[in-house]
Amino acid sequence: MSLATPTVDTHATGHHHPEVRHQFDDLEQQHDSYSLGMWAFVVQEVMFFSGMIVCYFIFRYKYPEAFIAGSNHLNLPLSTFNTVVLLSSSLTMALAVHAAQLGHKMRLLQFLMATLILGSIFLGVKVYEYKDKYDHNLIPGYNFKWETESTTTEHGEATDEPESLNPALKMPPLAQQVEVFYGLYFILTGAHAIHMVIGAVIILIIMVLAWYDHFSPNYYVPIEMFGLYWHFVDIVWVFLFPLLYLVDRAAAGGH
Amino acid sequence: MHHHVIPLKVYLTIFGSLLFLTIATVGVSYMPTVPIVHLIGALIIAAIKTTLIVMFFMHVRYNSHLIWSFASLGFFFVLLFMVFMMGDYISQYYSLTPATHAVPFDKF
Repeated sequence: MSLATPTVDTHATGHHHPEVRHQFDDLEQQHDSYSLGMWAFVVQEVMFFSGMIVCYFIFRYKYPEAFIAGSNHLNLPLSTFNTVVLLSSSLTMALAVHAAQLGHKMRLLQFLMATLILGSIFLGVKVYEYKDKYDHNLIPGYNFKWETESTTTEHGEATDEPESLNPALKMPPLAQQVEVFYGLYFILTGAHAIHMVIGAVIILIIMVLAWYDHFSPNYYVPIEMFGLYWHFVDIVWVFLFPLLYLVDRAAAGGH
Repeated sequence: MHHHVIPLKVYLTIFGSLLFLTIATVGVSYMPTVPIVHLIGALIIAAIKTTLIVMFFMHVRYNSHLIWSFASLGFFFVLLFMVFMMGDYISQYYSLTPATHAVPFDKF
């Protein structure tokens, strides 16, 4: 394990590679150190999202009907398209790292550009979806209204109780539960979208650096580390897509 | 060049598998079966997709054992977190259903 090897003063021996920072022995140790640091970051990001996803599981366990109703109201064809777009952007990102490893500058720039465009398409579709939720009064705590078919009246009479000081109680319980689902939907997809926006900004920075020949087949660590981040964002979506959009489509008879 | 350069064919094969699994996960949710099968099916497919992305797109398969163990430990702890949290909620009689505890449950 190169990280555990005793340090050798390469300045003294005169074999220091120009692309190795002074605190590292060689390219491999430098690469392993960067990778480990990036993985530490990725793993803590995994923990960050897992807290929200466990919250999702608890409420899905408590409110199964509301999650089916809420999920089936989401746009499945559009989100499937978006899933394919994001997976494609992961592929172009992997190919960008591949081009960087081989030192193909133009191919690197083209693949980074493709990743940026695909990421932007994903975010554009997301904006359209959010706008659609706004138009249908599905923003929790802002304009949330959920029309229930048959259960409204039988639960509705409880709202006349004088002790119901909480205005939220005027809604039937199913609507409240669906509101929880939409709250989780916006928090999870919102946190994911913020990661995408940050990623898009970093792609632009890397493209500028690549344009000015900052990278070489020996030094492409920033591109590879950013690739890890981008693939991680993809993995989050791999879980969000079935958890939010595919809750028992069979039970609700499709949408 | 001391780094492992993965052939393009590998990337394209992984991408094809990911697309196939995306269609499969939509298909599973339409299967006429009990809800828990939908959830478990979706999670298994997502886990396979994650493994493919981590191993090949994120190069963990070709990285050092330190990176390998770091990555897998992260996902292992998430699994522990979920199993213990859900085990707790499923085995106890917490009630999240009433919006406020001031109103008795049967008054809703």
